[in-house]
Formats: sequence, C-alpha cells, structure tokens
Amino acid sequence: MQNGRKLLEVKDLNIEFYDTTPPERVVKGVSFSMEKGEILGIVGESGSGKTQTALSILRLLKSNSGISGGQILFKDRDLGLYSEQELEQVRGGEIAMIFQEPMTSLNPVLTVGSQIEEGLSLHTKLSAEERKRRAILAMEEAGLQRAEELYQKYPHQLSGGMRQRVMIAAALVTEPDLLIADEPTTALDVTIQAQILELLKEINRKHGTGILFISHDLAVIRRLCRRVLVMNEGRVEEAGEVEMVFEHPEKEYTRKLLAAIPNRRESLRRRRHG
Amino acid sequence: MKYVLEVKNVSAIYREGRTEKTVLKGVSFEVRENEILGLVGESGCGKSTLSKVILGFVKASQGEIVHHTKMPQMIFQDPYSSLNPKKKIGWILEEPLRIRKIPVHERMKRVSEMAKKTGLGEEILTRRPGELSGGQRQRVSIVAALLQGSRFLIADEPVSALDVTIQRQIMELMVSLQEETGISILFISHDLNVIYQMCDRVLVMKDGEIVEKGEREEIFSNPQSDYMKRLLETMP
Amino acid sequence: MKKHQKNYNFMIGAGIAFFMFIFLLAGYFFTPYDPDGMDGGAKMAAPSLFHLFGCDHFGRDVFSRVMKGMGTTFFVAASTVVLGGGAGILIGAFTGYFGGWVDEVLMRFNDAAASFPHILLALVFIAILGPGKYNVIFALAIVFIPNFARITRSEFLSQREMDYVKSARLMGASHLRIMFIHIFPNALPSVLSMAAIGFNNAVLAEAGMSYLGIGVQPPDASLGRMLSESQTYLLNAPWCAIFPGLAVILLALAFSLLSDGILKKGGR
Repeated sequence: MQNGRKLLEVKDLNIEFYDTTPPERVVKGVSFSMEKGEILGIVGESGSGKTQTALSILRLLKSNSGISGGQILFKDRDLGLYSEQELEQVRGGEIAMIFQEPMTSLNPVLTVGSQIEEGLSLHTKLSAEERKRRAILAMEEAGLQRAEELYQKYPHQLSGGMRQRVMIAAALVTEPDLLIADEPTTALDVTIQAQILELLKEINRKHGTGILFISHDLAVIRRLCRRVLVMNEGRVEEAGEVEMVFEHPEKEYTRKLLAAIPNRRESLRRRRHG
Repeated sequence: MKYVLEVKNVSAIYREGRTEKTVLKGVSFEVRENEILGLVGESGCGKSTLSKVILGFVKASQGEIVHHTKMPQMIFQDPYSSLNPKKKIGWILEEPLRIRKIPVHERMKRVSEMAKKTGLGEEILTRRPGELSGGQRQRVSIVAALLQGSRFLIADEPVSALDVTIQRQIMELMVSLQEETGISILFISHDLNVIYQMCDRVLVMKDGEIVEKGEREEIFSNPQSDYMKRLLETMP
Repeated sequence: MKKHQKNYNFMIGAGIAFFMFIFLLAGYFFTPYDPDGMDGGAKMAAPSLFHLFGCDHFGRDVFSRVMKGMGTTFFVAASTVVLGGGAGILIGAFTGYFGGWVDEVLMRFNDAAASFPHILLALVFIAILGPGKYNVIFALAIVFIPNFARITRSEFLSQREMDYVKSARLMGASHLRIMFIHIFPNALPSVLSMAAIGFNNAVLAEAGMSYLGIGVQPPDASLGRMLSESQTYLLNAPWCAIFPGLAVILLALAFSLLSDGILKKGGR
C-alpha cells in the first residue's frame, strides 16, 4: 500500500440491467473517491443510479443486473478481483451497510442481540460472553438505552427509530472502516431523523469511520456531509464541497433540484384571504 | 364565514384484541370555503385516522362531523395503490361519470379536456397505471378527484412518496387548480416546509390532539406550543 | 421497457389444450366409426391403418371412442368448473369483501368441506344421488366450491384494503360494482389458475369415478370407463388402455401448464 489515504476509489463504474434487450445501462461511468474518515454524500432522485452504485461496492446487486465495467478499490485492494468467499469477509467486517427499511432489514424471528452479534460470529473467534459484551457496547454507542434488556427483544417490539439504531449497532460492532448508508433516515419521523444524523456524525468523529451516505434529501445531505456527488440518470452531474454545490451550483440539473426543495422562504400561494 | 366541513369534538378509538387506544381526542376544527388547510404531525399522531373518520371509513366514538358539500374526494399517499392496476387510465377517469350515468361522448369529452388541462396528455388515457411514473399517477388521482365536481378534497401525504422535482410539480398543480376552481383542500403532511408552501391555515396535531391552529404566518413565526417549536427546530 | 421473457408454460399448455379441443370437438360431428358399433371380426384388433388405436374386446374402434369419450370427460369437467367455480367465486367475493360474521360462518363450513378428501366427498354425494353423468357433475361441483371460495376470498380480502377501492366508494360506486367491476379483474389471474387446476382435478376425478363404475354409465364412452373396461385385457390388448390413458395425461398436463402460465402472466 503506497497510498494510505484513500479509503475507497470507484473508477469508471458501469452497471447494466440484463432483463431487457439490449441491456439497459443504469450507471454510466461513475468515478469518485473517499478519504479515510470522510462522510461523502450521494444525492439523486429515484432512477439516478445512486443505490445501484452503493450496492455494487459490496457486489450486492440483484441477479438481473451486474457491473459491466470499471474498478472498485477499497484501501487500494481491487474488490473486483475478490472471490465471493473473500468478499464475505469484507461484508459486515471492514465494510458495513445499513438500509432504508429498518423493518425488513431485521429478521423478525431472531432476537436483537443475536442479530447484532452476527457480524462477530462470522468474522471473529470471540467467546460468547465477549461477543455479548461487545454487542451491548455497540448498542450503547448507537444510543440505545437499557441495552441489556433490549438484547433479548425481537424487532417488532421496537419502534422504527430504535430499529434503525439496532441496525447501526449491528454495523458498528465489527468496527468497520466504511459504513454505507442507503437512505437510512427516509422512513423515520423528522425528530427521530435528526437524532440518527447526530448519531452518525458522532460515530464518524469518535472512530473515524468513513460514511458513504445516500439520500434523495438535499437538506439531510447538507446537514451531515462535507462533500457531495449529485447523480442524475446514471451519471455524476456535479461533485464538490457541499456548501459550494449548494450555494453555487454549476449544472442546470443541480439548480433544478435545489429549486424544488420545499422551503419556508417562498409560498406557492399567490393569493391570500381569510 | 362559510364552511365546507365542521368537525366537532371528535374522538376515535382503535381496538386491537383487548387493548383500546384512543387515537383522536376531542378534535375540533372547520375547513373554510376556498382555502388549503394544512394538517401537520408525525406518524402515529392520528392524522390519517382523522381523514378516515371524516370520510366515514372509521366510526367516531364521540362527536359530530358535518359536511356542507357532497362527499369529499381523496388523494392518497401511495400512488401505486390508489389506481386500479387492471384498468386503463381512461376507464378510471370515466368511472365516476359512468356511475352518474353520463353519456359516453360527454364523458370522453370531459376526461380528455381535463387531461389536457392538467398536463397529462391524451395518449396516457390508453395506458394502465403500471406504465406510468409516480408523478403521473398522482396527477391522474387529482384529475379523477376533480372530475367528480367535488368542492372539497382531502389529500393525505400526496407528495411524500415522490422525488423532489416531481413533488414540486404536483404541489404547483394542486395550488393552481385550487386557485382556479376555488375548492377547499385539507392537506395532510409530515413535512413543515411543504405545508408552509401550500397552505393558508395550519393545524398541528400530536398524540390525537390538535395542539395548535391558526394562520400559517402566525404559526410559523410565533409558535405557541412546545411541540411546534421543537418541530420547527428539527426541520431543516 | 418490455420484458422479453417467453411464457413457455402458457404457450405449451395452450397448444396442447387447443389440439385436444379440436380433437374432441371433431368427435361430436364425425368419428371414423360408430363409437358404439361392434365389429365382431375386429375384436381386440391391434392398431392398424384401419383402426389407428386398435379395437376393444367388443370390436369397437378405440380411436372413435377416445374422441367421443374425451368429449364426455371434457363436458363433465367443464360443467363442474363452471358450476363449482361460479358458486365458489360468488361466496368468496361476498365473504372476502364484507367480512364479519357471515364470513366467519361460511368459512367454517368451507373448512369442514375442504377437510374431506375430494373423491371421498364426491362418492358420498353419488351414493345419495345415484350414479350418472349429471350427478357426477353435481357432486364434483359441490366438492370444488371450497377451493374457489378460499382463493377468491383471500384475493378480495387483500384488494379491499387498497386505496383504489376507497376511491371507488367515494365516487359513489355500489358494492356490487366495486366487487365485480373494480376488484374482480385483479383477482382474475388467481381464479383462472384455480379454474385450470380445478379442470385438471375434474378430469381425473371423472376418470376415477367412471373407472369405479359409479360415473358415466355404459354404453356412453368416457376416458375413465374405457380405462376400467380395458383392465381385464391389459396384456392382450394394451392399446385399449394406453390411448385413453394418454388422453387423460395430455388433458391434465395441458391444464396444469396453463395454470402455471396464467399465474406467471398475472405477474405473481
């Protein structure tokens, strides 16, 4: 490893869907890189290819789609050359992922504790007590109170916000270097959303965990990230410091996107009465 | 002041097995003619139940609901469940007129006029919901509601499942149609910014109660309840 | 974006069914020989150019009898599905849409009926009504009601919660209109698939009952009767069993493929 600073490098990534003839290209030559400990945001509307890009890093694309070109380097190692077995070591170990739906991403018939420990059981040879100790630690870190008690519970006994915290605890327990978060706050209420964002920031500060944060919500991205990629129709439209992109957007699409965010500076109502 | 709807001290109970939960606690408000009234609150606050009670899908355990127009129409959050997947858009839009026994040529005329006016385009009438985008489907729902000639519309989170740019188009469409026709809309949303942009007056709901109501500017610049203050802080 | 996936189940099923249908339809108007006509000189004649499928122990032409017998079997199966399916769909639609105590009561009856093996239940009805083509249809139709009712009910249960149903109610559509104009098309793939399976079962049940001698009565030809009659001469004249058997298998195969194909088409 000559260059120790880069955490993730994606070079000229192409992704295609195979169930049409000819295959439909949904990600078209996307390149970006992340430094260690950075929070990078990817923003885009549905169909922009942001989720496909995120899934392809751990090769979690559905069977009807695949990477048709490009390179993904994680800590200067080419993940494309990894076998499925080697990738399993990386998944949930050095790279963890959390999803939008905290309801469906947890297994309803397993206790919260066993699901958080899953990463440790797969990637380490720790004793049961040690695993439990670490799981509880991770839960506390994820802001779950009374972790000992929650450890025994099942997902349906928790609220949406708590479930997302459980997901985060499960992701953190193996102390990953990169956390990929795909719309983790979209399904949550605004007040809970704010808490989860604070939590992610805190984790980043404390452990230097790099976070790749994917969202359709520009306001959320602005609150969390330092740099942002704007994706549209499978391409990176614009990339740069969040404030720069937001205050001085260069591309037409970014401007349109920014103009569409509902805000309290303007009312669509032309006429007042009452 | 003329009203299209009066809700007087309405409570509703939700039963699941043995446990009873009060989801609405003595809610009172009225919807005026020619206004967009916003109803804001987080999930589980009872705002969706309220719309169901108004439409008669859920019975109120107490209180009274007075409609001053014929039945309101509804626009739902999920544009994928609100249109019948097996029917063509033209059929869906004609259905309310068909039920009212309006002759075929008159039906077709009204539907295609309305489709053109709302930017749907006539070619869409021969497609099925599965072939449309979320935004197009929501447009179809709005057109269907307007074709009924109802003076009062309830919109339950109509834009929250849509992308921002589409969201904006649908919001603009609703505002311009409201201003043109002078109908009333009860606009339900969890998003304060959307509520600000759309509404004249606002109701804030928490745990089945209305904790604040008033003119939009009033509520956003000078909130009285702790809850609204907290919401304003957390909303970007 | 069109998906280019071929629905082979549906295509092959429809192909076989179409072929068989032409075959049996022709049997109503024309058979090479009189299906009941006995030719003393051709008793148990092996398949030849004159008798394509050979002759049975009375010297009747097996080819002609298969054509005729398939018609009988098809008629029994189709009537069963139409009667049993129609009643089942009505019951399922009403109970699924309205729910409540009517649903509870009817569905318990349904469960009770469904807990008997089909053939056994049909046998009970035949024992009461006596054998014969129309009694077989009646008995099988009753036996098939629960399945159709269950499938239709579960479809209506899930569809009635959809927002488009609420929309239709707000438009002022009547309950009947909502049930059969709005919801039913959405339940159709499952119901059609069920109908194909039902048809399949009816073919087998009719064959089974006629084989046992309680179904279609002689001299009427039916596939089941032919199998039953040919049993004694299985080693001497295997063609008497092979060809009706083949017809039963092809019919069953066609409709089970159709059933899978319909479900695929319906996108489930």
